[in-house]
Amino acid sequence: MAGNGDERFIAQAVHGFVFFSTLLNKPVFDAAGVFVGRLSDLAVSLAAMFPPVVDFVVQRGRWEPFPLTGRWSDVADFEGEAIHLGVDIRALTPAKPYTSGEILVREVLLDKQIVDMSGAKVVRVNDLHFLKLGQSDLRLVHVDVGTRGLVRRMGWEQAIDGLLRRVAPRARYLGADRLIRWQYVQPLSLDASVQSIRLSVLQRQLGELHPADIAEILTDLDTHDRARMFRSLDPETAADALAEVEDPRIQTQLLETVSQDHAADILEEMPPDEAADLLSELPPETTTALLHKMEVEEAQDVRELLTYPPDTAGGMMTTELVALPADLTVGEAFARLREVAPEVENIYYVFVIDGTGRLVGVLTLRSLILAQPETRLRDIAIENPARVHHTDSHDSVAEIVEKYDLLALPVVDDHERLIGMITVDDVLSHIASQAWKRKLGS
Amino acid sequence: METEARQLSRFVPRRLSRLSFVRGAFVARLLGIVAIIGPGIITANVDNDAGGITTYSLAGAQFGYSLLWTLIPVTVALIVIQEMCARMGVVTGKGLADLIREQYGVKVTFYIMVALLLANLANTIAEFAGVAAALEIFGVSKYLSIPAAALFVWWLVVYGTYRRVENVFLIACVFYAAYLISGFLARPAWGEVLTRMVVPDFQWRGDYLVMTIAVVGTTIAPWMQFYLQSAVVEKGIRLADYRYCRYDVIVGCVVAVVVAMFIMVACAATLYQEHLPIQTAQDAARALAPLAGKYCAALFAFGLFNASLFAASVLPLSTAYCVCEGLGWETGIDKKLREAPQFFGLYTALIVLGSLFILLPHFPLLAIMYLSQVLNGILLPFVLIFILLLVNRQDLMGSYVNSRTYNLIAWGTSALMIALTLMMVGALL
Repeated sequence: MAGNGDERFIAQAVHGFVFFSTLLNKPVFDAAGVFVGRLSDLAVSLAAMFPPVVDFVVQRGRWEPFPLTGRWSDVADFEGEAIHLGVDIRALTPAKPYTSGEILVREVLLDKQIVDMSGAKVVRVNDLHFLKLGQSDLRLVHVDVGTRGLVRRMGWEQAIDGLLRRVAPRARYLGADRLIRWQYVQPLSLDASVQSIRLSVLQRQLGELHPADIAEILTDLDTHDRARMFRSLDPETAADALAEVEDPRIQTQLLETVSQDHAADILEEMPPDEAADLLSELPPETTTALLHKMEVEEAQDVRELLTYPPDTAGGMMTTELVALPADLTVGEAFARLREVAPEVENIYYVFVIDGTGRLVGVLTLRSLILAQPETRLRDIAIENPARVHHTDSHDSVAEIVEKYDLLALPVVDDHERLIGMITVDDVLSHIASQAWKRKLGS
Repeated sequence: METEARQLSRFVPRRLSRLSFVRGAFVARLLGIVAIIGPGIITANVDNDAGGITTYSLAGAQFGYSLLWTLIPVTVALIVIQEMCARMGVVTGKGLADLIREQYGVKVTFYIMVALLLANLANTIAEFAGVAAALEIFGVSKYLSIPAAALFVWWLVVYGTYRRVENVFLIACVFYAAYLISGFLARPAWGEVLTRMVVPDFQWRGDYLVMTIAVVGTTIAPWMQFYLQSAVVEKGIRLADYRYCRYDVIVGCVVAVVVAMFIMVACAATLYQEHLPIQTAQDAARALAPLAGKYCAALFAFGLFNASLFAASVLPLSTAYCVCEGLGWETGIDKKLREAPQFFGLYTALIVLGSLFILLPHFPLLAIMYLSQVLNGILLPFVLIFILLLVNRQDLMGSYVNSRTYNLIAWGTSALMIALTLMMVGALL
């Protein structure tokens, strides 16, 4: 820090930073110089953006189980070897449990796991970083999750820093504080009343995360925190995240932590093929109950998909697709596309069907865009497109998709009627798992 | 059509990059097997590792049936301790290292983790020693077998295939049935065996005492508590299903000790009867002669190899997980090296050091086996005390704290264990 110019120095002097570990266990003396005990915790108010310290807690001694608490504004000096109070020991009261928007930082944060919303990670807090704004205005600004914090807690910071400066002055460790700004910190061990204050922040930030990141956070959390966080998600976010969770055990576990009504809402938001895959992992009676609670239309799709054995093309397909009658014009087709597009996962292929639902052709979005609005679909559709029967194997699906370079492959029944499609991402998953097995086999 | 498809590929939705079903499909298939075999049974099978087989063989060969009586109290102690960890895992959803860190702070956690790391390094060395001994029976030089085994173990985890192989290991544990059959074929005096099981036959002799403590120490090791609790958490067992988890733990403990008993009986009925001392792995293999005749060495080697490799796969990984979780470093085999350097560093270091020591010429193997026992012994009292403190915390466990009777048994067991391990450490040092 030294040698950075006077301005910087003055700024540092007024607004010093304080690590919680340097305050923890410091002896506390009252105004008359009487030893009170050692600092064991600080309470901060969550109402402000950077929570100010409002109370301190003093542990009287090893054999005195009841700690004392006082207002932080009564602290006269905390930067020396000891903490000196501006008041008499009698001004302190027995410590109380905190509930109304205030938390004890040691109890809730220190050594606990938090979610770092900026990095979408679950991390453990090694130290807390406070900013000194005024004489008794101390604000929680960062949590420290780095190895330096760990070393500081062990009481080895000076020794290791000194050694490193001599041995390897350019070591990355010396400048490698890993601090997370308080706004991005989501504490996990909060009780319900405090949780609700942070929850609005959480939900806004979660909305900005990619579902795959939320899925990874959920996977990294322990079972109870995982359930709590999942319950706080709105059905749409929950559905996206659930689809991204890789481990089916965790998927079913998550679905079982919410009420059946909530679970049904989440399943409705998922693509039917994903929902069907998930439901097939659950006990049959749960599946039936959930399908019963879902909207009739969505449940019908899923129920249909569940009837196909998982190792067939039918078990792989989704029923969400765009199928249009052959005698529609391109202009009318666009109008219909706009209606259904929000509901459908993949609109890059438009399937053309006749009056009985038989597959007669396929169009790409590109060919639709290039065509004149009054052209009929039957005139521009590619006839006799590649297709599979719903009993075909995954391998033959993969073969066809690979051969014709398709993004999606239509699936038909015995009467050549279009019943679903398989998208390339599901095929890729199949191929990758085959490759995996081959690697194991060799 | 083809070119269009290619151009369209820019619009391929982001889901494309997700390979969720790759893992999904085969994990789902595995569930069938894994659902039956729980963490308790896996822990128990890893418990009968190289050190276990060696200790039980020596106990039977040197002292005949006279150590059998220790097994029933050991079973009770093992069940009591393991059950508390499984219960904590289910109720809190957290591993033992996490709980110690969250409730007792950095310093305590750091020293316990250092001790766990050292103890498990010594244990890993012992496992690789088991691999070397087993393959030397087949005439494979340790300079070949050890690097190969170390690479294999590393590959298992890095390529994420451990879960599949775990089942192979478990199935190969059927080998222990060989001791069962051998035990019967050797026609031991069953009346005597049964009497010796229940009637304590305590001898105030130095070597007898050391062996008693070794049997207890090898059966109840600190890594087992960390491993079991993490495995229970990992499996996401719900409170409603805790009953099954408890059965799994109890069955696992009983199986582990029954295997130990049959190893002792088989060795007692053969080696002890014929006054054959165990000096090499070849000697220990002769306990299986009633079953396998001249193939007994091959059978023993196979079993020892499987047990050692199984434990060598589990120990470094679970240690790396535990230490990193306790100290707040990123973990996970699916992470990149850059994301979790400490995790991969610890994991690799345990395997590399564990195998390297075996390759040193004139390496004092026996001393390391002893050292691993000493380190386990030093660590166990601390671990037990933390388990008991944590499991009785109302704020963590709610109504699942120990009952008064259970506490009496648990504290009694722990006090006895602590006294025994202190004696062992004293005797070994």
